[in-house]
Order: sequence, then structure tokens, then C-alpha cells
Amino acid sequence: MESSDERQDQPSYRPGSEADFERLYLRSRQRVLITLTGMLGNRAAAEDCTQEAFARAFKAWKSWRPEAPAEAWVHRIAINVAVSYWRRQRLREAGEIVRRLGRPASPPSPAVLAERSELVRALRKVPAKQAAALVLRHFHGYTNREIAASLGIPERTVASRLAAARAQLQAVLGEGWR
Amino acid sequence: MKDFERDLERGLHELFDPYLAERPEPWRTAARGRARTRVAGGIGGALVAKLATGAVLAALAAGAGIEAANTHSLNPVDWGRAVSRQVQNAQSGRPSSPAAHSSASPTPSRPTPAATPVAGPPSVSPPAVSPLPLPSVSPIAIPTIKPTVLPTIP
Repeated sequence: MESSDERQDQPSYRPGSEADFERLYLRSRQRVLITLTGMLGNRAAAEDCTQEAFARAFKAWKSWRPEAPAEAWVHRIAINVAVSYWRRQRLREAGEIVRRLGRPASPPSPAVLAERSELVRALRKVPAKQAAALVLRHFHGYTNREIAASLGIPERTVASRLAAARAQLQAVLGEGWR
Repeated sequence: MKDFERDLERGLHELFDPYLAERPEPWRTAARGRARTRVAGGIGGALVAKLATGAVLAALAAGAGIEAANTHSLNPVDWGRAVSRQVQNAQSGRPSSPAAHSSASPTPSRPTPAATPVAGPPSVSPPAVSPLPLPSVSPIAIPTIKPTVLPTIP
């Protein structure tokens, strides 16, 4: 895993520079994709939201201020895109359940089964921003400051949010996990 | 709790480490591809197609209008004859005349050598145009108004 110090060592970016945005994209695209896959539990949806997020970030690139870490700034845009998607998806799923009542459900494809590991399924049951916080801390190794910038919350509330998210995930996974 | 955190980190890395091995497509290429698709497939595409069709139709209409005005005929066959006549005139070094255009007959308007013994280019006179007769206008009689006589009050 890339440590927080290594990430702080990243080259500086100039707002509005297309070449710098290219570097930011190459550096952080896969990491944003991972966070969104953890939130949404669906790689295809996470790919769509990641592209949408980078398109929005590119439009706003001139207004980015170097005070906020660039990757955390992109993460914030991406998490907002994913939360919007997550809400729409929940509504759609509720409609699907009502529509399919009385009919046997079709079996999921092998690709979908592979995507739905126990951990990913559990992350999907946790609120989207909590799932994002868990991936940011326990996969990307983000600091509280970076998580606060990514989620758009005060830094002092990050620790309590993370504790609540871990407790909820542990409850969903149950004692037998691992 | 520490055990759970360790297990969580291990589980996330098992799931997502393969993602980091993938190299994303460069942003410029991805963005250009999306923009092209958007213009070609969206409202922009429809607008461009409409503008192109309109421009072609306008050019055709303008060409047809010019030929119709030159030949005083709406028959495209006459336009073709006029064009071939102009080409023949240009090849023989003669200027094309509006009078030549006005006659839409298949016979060439070039005079024969017997009819024109004098060498050199023939003088071309514009066609005589008689003015349209204007209708005579008679003035309308304006009625005279007599002042009314008011009764005198004693």
C-alpha cells in the first residue's frame, strides 16, 4: 500500500493545466475506481461514475485550489456522483422487487457472483459515505484530513464516523467472518 | 477491534489490488472520444446534419435561380444548352450575350460566314425593351364644403 507520506510527496499541480490534469488522472483514476466499487458493489457502475466524476473535475479544474490535496478533491466529486447513483439505484431496486413479486428471480451471471464477495455485499449494506470512508482509510491509507476533504465533513468528526462505519460493517458481516 | 481492522485491510487488498495493476487510458484520448461521440450522436449531430442539408439545398436553389434568370426559362434542358453555348463561345473567343441566352432554340446563334462578309467579331446590341404603357389617372373631384349658417339669437 502507498503510505500517506508517499502521497504527500506527489508533484504539484497547476489549476487549469491540461497536462497536469492528465497526470492527476493517471495517478488517481484506479484509486477512485476502487473507492466507488467499494461503495456501489458493482464495477460497471463504478466505472461510469468514475468517468463522470473526472469529466466534472476537468470542467472545474481551473477553480481547484492547491490547499486541498488534488486526489482528495477528485474523490469528493466522485463520492458525490456515486452517492447520487446509489440513491437512484436503491429506488430502482425497490421498484424491481415490487415488480418481481411472485416470480422466481433469474440466477446472477458468474461475473456478478465474483463481484459479490461477502465483503463487497456487506459494504453495500453500509451507508455509501461510510463505505467510502472505510475504503479510504483501510485500503488507500488516507489521513483524517484527507478523508475529511474527500467526504466534505469536518476533520474532527472523521474518527467517530470511521468507528461507526466499522461497527456497522462488523455487525453486517457477523462473528464468523474470517 | 484491531483484529477486525487487520482482516478488513487484508480483505480489501485481496479484492482491489488487481485494479491497481490496470493502466487507465490517457485522459485526453478518453475525453476526445467522449466529445466526438457526444457531437456525432447528440443534438449537435442533428444540428450539423440539418445545416449541411440546408447549405446544399440553398446552393442548388441559387444555381437554379441564376440559370433560370439567364435563360428566361424554367426548363433545365434550356439551362444545359445555354451552358454549352457559353462554352463554345469561350472556346472560339466570342463573348456570350444575354440575347443568345434569351433564345432557347437548339439552333446556334452564331452567324454563318456568308451572312457576315466582314471579318472580326460581330457587334452585339442589347435586345430592345419597350416600356410598359402606364394607365392614365384622372384626378378625383374634391367636394366643396359650404359653411353652415348659424341662427342669430336676439
